[in-house]
Amino acid sequence: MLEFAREQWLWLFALVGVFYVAWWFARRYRKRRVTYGLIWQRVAKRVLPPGWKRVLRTVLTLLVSGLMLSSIALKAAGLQRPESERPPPLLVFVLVDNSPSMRALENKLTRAQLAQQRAQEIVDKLGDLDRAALVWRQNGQLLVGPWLKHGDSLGPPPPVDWAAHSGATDLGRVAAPPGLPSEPARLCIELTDSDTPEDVGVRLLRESVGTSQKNDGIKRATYEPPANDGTSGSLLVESYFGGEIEATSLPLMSAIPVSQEPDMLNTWRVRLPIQPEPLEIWVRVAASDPLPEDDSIVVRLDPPRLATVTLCYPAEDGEPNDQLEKALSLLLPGREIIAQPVSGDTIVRADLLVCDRALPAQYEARFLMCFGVLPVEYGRVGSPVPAEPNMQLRVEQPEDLGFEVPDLTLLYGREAVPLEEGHSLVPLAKHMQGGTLVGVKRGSPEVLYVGFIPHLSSLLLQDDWSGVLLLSRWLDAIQSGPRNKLPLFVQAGEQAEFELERSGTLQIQLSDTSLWAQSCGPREYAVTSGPDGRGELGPFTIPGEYVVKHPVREIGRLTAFAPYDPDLTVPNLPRLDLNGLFHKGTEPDWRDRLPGALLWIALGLMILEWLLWLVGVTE
Amino acid sequence: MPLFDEATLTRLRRLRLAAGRVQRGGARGERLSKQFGAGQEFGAHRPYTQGDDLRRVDWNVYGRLGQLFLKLFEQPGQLRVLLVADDAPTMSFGEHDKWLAARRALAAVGMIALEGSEHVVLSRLGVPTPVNFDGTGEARLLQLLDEMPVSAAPTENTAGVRGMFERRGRDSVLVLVSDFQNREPLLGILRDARRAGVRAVAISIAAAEELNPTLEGFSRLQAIGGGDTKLRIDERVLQAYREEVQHYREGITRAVHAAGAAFIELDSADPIEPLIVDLMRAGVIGA
Repeated sequence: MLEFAREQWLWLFALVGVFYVAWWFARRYRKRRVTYGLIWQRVAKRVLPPGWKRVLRTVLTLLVSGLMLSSIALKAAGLQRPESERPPPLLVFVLVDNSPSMRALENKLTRAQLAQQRAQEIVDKLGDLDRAALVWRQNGQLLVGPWLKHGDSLGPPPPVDWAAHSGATDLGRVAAPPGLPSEPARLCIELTDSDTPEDVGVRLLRESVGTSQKNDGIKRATYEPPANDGTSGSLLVESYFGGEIEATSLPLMSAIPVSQEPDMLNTWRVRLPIQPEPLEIWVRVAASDPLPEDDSIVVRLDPPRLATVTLCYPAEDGEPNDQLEKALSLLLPGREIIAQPVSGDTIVRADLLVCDRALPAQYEARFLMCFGVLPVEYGRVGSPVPAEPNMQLRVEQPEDLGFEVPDLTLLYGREAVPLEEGHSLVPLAKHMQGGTLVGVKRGSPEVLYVGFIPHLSSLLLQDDWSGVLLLSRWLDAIQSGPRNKLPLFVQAGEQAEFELERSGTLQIQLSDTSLWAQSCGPREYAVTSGPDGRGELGPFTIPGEYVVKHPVREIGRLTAFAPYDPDLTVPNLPRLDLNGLFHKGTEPDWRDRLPGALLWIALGLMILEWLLWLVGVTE
Repeated sequence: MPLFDEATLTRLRRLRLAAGRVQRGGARGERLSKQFGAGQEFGAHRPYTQGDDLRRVDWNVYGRLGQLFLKLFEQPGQLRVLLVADDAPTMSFGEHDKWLAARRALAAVGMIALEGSEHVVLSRLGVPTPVNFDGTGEARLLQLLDEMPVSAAPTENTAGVRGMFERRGRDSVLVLVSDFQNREPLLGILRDARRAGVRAVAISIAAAEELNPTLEGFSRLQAIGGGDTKLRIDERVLQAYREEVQHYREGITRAVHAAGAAFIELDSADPIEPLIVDLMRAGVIGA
């Protein structure tokens, strides 16, 4: 009839007996030999209350003490109903869906957070012997968390798992926690926005989290290189539902023009501006939606950065060399060529400074194209010499020049200005007498010296393309930026090619600022190129922005896309009645209430004893 | 344990009873002889001891009993000191035994009387036959008191003591030592003594444990002489007890005075000297 949860405390009941024995010993009358027997009897009559009062007081004292001690012993030993009358303990597996769609917002909270709150409610409804474990997926496999009991607190939601589900898991084989009195029943409660039930091997109850919503997002993004249109190229961005795309240049947050492509469905073109600094563009779907993670990307690229061009010519010429000006316009499409006559105190600031026989007093430029003049810090020009075709010395192309030098032996000029000895340029063409007619310096600033004066030579004539080809290749070389070719966007589940300047190993790490950073799966990859510097990277498990390092220096960034279902549908599953699940048949009965009742009775008797003393019934 | 040490004995021997001189008005002064029994009136018998005058042996008694007894005669005007000990069981109580204190008091008075050549009669309530002593009976008096036991039960019959008052009452001094816990027979003795013209001194002996007990806790009080009382003793109970004892003793004092006797209260732990002083104040002893 009675069972105790903690039988090791049953000895406490002996305290009741010990108390009574101690009480009896303490109240034992010790024999004393006295005289004046009659006087002692008179004193006894005088001081002792009537016998019934003493009995009442004694009975109350013994009852109060006995009841209190019994209550404590019952509480400590854990009086409970017999095993046969109790329902078996319940093991509840709370399967929390941690698929990417659970990141969708439902009125400021994500579905994952709502599921976690619901899981906490389940844990709070557990009975004393029931246990629960959080179950989630990691890399496609079910993972069972530690056992929780009533009152335990759940942590944050599990990270998003992008991996595909792999196989079924039998939760019936998960070991039960120790200390349960009998074989527990098992139940799995799945909190999900998916309509596909899991096969978990135990009784499964499902409850939907969230409501069905439409989700727009960036479906695809591709980079188109510049097409001589005065841009750094374009981004073609496709959204699921054709929502408007916005683009902003970081960090100044300046808007970048975006236009819808007329011939491509749901596609927008972001025209990347030419600017001296590397580009960092934030592209996003304009309208907010439940899943912001797939609504924006940040594009970092290093396109040609030559934006402003100034052509300096001698002021006495009156106007610039028209042929040279047209050639520059053709070679640098989209840029405005500013002609600047050079007088004594001319100051010039441009990305590319073209000096046709005239050098300004002060200048600030990252690229210098000099015809017949050269800043003294790089060398001095000599006296003009006549130059005949095929009369130039062939010069071996130096290594690491970055572009291929055309054959310049056919160039000729009525006057060509060679450099004097002692200059710091790398010769590309020499006069028969030894003077350098064409030289180049790579690095900052980039310098190209050409001793053939445009209007006095065949440099820009079409009968020999070598001159124009030299200028074109040099301009391409100085604008090519990093020589490693990395894709800007990749499909997360696919592979993409890359090319390094030299063979090596790339370290690819998921950016800490990526919106999908709280996801399961590998966050870091090492990719080794082939001997030619080419290789493939991907697929990526976690979508988002990745930092590419080679070997430890950041050489670029790329964004991995995950194609995603734009319809965040949620099955209409009923909400589970947790009270019916956990508390059926566990209503407390007299055995649960007995210790407390004994304490209340003892308290009542104490008050009664006090009241009797107060009114003088007992002493 | 001897009743007195030698120093106390020496001091006691220097004292004399004042009662006799007062009664005799000082006409006789000191007795002429210490020979008790040289007078005309038969006083008592006592066993023969070595050195006694064979002429005083009562041969009639020898003929009846086969033992030698001396025939003692009291001299006219000789003071008769009646020493009465209450040998109730309650007298044997206290760390400083009341019974020992009582015997010391009686011994002191008896010695003083014998040193003054007075006639001493020793009696206790439980034994009806008194014992007589003359001037040479000091050693025997001390021995008898030393060996005197308390009785097993309180005595109500005091006829033996009262019988001592029937002869020569006006020449007698009664010294009654008791704890007065069974007071009615004792007050009866004192009243009879007054009727017989006997001067009486009542010495009340109490032990410290009786007057100011140090009991505490749950106690079953077994009174000597009968009666059990169960009490949880605390200060409130002790206070009530002290009040009752004081009230009782005040009643004793009044009753003894009403019976015409002097009353001396003695603590069983007290030495003998305060008693001597009190006896002097009562006029029983002179220096």
